[in-house]
Amino acid sequence: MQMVKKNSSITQGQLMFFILQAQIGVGILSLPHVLQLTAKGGAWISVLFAGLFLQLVIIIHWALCKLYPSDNIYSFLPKIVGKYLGNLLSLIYSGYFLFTAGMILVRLLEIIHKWMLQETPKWAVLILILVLSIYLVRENLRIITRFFVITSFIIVVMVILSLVGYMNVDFTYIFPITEAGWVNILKTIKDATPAMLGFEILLVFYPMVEGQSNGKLKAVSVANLLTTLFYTFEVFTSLIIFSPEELPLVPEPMLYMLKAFSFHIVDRIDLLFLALWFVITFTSLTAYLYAGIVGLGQLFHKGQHKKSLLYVPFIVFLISFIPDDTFTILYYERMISVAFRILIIGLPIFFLMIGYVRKKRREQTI
Amino acid sequence: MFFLKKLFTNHQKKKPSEETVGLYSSLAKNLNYLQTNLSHSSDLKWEQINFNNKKGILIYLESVTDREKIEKKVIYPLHKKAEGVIEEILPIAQFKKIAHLNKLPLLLVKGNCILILEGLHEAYVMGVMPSYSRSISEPSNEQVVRGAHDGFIENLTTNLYLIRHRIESTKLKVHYYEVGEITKTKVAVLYMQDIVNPKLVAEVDRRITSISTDTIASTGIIGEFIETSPLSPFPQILYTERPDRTAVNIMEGRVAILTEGDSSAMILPVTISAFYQSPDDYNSKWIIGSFIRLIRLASILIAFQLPAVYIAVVGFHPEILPTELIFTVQSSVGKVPFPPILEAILMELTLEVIREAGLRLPSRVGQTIGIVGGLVIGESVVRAGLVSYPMIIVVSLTAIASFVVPSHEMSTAIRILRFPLMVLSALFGIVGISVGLLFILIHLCRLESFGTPFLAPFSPLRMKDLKDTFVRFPIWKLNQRPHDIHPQRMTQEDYSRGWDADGQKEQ
Repeated sequence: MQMVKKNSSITQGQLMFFILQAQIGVGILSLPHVLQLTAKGGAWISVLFAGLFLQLVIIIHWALCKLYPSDNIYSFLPKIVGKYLGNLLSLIYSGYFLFTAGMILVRLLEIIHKWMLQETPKWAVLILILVLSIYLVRENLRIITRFFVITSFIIVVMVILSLVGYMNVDFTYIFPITEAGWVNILKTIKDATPAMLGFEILLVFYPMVEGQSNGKLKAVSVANLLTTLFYTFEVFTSLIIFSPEELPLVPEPMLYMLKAFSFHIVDRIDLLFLALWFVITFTSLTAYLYAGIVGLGQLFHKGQHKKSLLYVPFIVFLISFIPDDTFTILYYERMISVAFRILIIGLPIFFLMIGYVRKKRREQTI
Repeated sequence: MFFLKKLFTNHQKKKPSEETVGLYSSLAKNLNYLQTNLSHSSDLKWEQINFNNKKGILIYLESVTDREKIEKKVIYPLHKKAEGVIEEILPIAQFKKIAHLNKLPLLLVKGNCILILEGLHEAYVMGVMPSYSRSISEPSNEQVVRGAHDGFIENLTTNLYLIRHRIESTKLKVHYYEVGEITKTKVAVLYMQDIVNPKLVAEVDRRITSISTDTIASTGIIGEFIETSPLSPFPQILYTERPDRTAVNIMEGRVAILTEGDSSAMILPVTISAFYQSPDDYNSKWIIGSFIRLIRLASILIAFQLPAVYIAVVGFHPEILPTELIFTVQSSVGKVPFPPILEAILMELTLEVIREAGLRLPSRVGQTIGIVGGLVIGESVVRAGLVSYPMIIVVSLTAIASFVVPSHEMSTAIRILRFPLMVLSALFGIVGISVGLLFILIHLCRLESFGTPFLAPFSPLRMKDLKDTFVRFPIWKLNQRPHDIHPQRMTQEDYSRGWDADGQKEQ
């Protein structure tokens, strides 16, 4: 309740952009490659299914938030499971958000190192990006959202750049669509979901959004729909540009595709695409970072999230500086996906049930 | 920390208000009082006058009064009638009776003459200000091709006339303030009573009344006192010397502030789009206006980023260029002993110096500076092998592009921010430019001008207001005022093309 300040609330339209920017992020570059390994020509269907699946999760989250309309996850957890366990869980959620932010940074650095700055030391780029994100996340939600809204046009530009690829496509590459079988296509959902994470931030920002709860669900659903369509489009584009034999060899299909095209003045539009992708990834990074430090601020600093910025950057720096080889990164990814299953899918259902029972009981006593 | 704070903060103390002094019955005593309180200034003049058989004295400061007016409107009627009621005799509009002697010195300074009659406890104060002012001419830094060619001058009354003349409405409200403890500068706040957001007026009032300073030298000083974020390089107030621009902005629901003795008006709150628009956009047809506006936007981007992009391309990613171009660029860049960043900073600074030198010198000498600086240095610096040809092209393009920005404040902000961008791009290439631009964008998202987001209507997004940003839609499509300032009435135009049967269907 104390969290809802008048000057930091956002509208439902802004919520849509916020979730959209949080969802679209680091995964876009390698998604076609990862999905095609198991789902073959049906990879784009997996993305659609993943979007559908996440929509269910969104509804669960929304129902949970609706039980406590003026609290965010950090303040309603103690109400559900008791003060100590609730605060502990809040800390875990906060840690999850920060860890995801660190993971996004790891992937960001990996791509930057591979494609743009081969010789610049990793720590220098890391510090640069961290300073930039601190500059943004110390502000309130409204200003962060303003930034997210204005950078959203980049998604449109990315779509237009991808359209360049349609100069040279072969639709037969995706046939037969069910080459890998429906089982594999469905299995691939679990590979697609990590790239589409970001909607869970609703748990933190739900009370700061103006308007009715139905409108909020609509905003998040629209964001999820746009993300799904965007990803489906990118995956589909990659599938018809690269042959099924070629795609397993290129880890970042979108970039390789753009690299092949040349214009008269700019020879490498993949670098332009990367600069845009950097902004989109930066928004997901800051969304998670902000969700994390809001939790820390509520737990330790009486709601002043700025104060946690004294130590959070060092933690994130360590999280993202340590992994040096692909094994650590894979290990990180596995941790995230386990955390996702427990914290984002499992526990909310559990909380929802408890919360629902509590509410019923409260209504009966009254 | 506390000590440092103490060093830099001001200690504000309010002066106790002056005691009131009544008029003395002796004329000499009164005169003496006035002389002492006006620091025995030599331009204080007085004359003996007899009226109603009483001795009197007429006092004025000859430097701020019109001698002819005093003769005609005060001395001559008094001599002619010699008896009667003073209020009825004198043909003067600005006429006051003041009982407090301590108020008189200030009134003298403001251009009044004062008549004190022996034995009376009230002094007659008559306004006899002269009207000297330069003629109304077009402001040299805001010229337009077609449209109004008048500009503000240093006289507040004339400036107010220029605006009232354009908005002949009873709802146009002028609110005077006296700012400056000593200079007592007259400041006028103008707005449309039935359009402006009352909260905005209250906020402007709050900020202006809180100004506590001895001198107000110009409008810019007031601007610095009332700006929301004075530490930002970006201007949050639009300064203009054009009455037509001011009038249009007032009609949109903004507030204009004019100062006595300054020929520029402040318009607030403004958003970023105000800084690349010019009245010219509305004077020409909308397609041409939109095209020119797009050109201007492109120039801002060039002025802002071209050197940084060049440094990134040459230093980090030459592969961006097509193969043939790489050879051309490399053959010139390869001969230069400095890294591109040093080259760029050297040339950009030279250019800033030439610009400043040209500005300060009389126009004839200024041209010479242009030739010596631009042509001679530019050519020989490449011949000597200190700077490459592409760099000269980049720097000159940047310079020309930066002149296109219509607002001087915005142009300076862009010129300054170019340097950190160049350093970032020299360190991190394209990533550096992205980071630098994001820094600026985040800063712009934080900026607010009197409660209005600086980036409106882009973010917070409002589709209807985008009609008049990148391009200018036809006037008959701009039915609503900009939403960002929350005007009381949204509609500003409808059915102007009602005569057109087809157009009517469309609406």
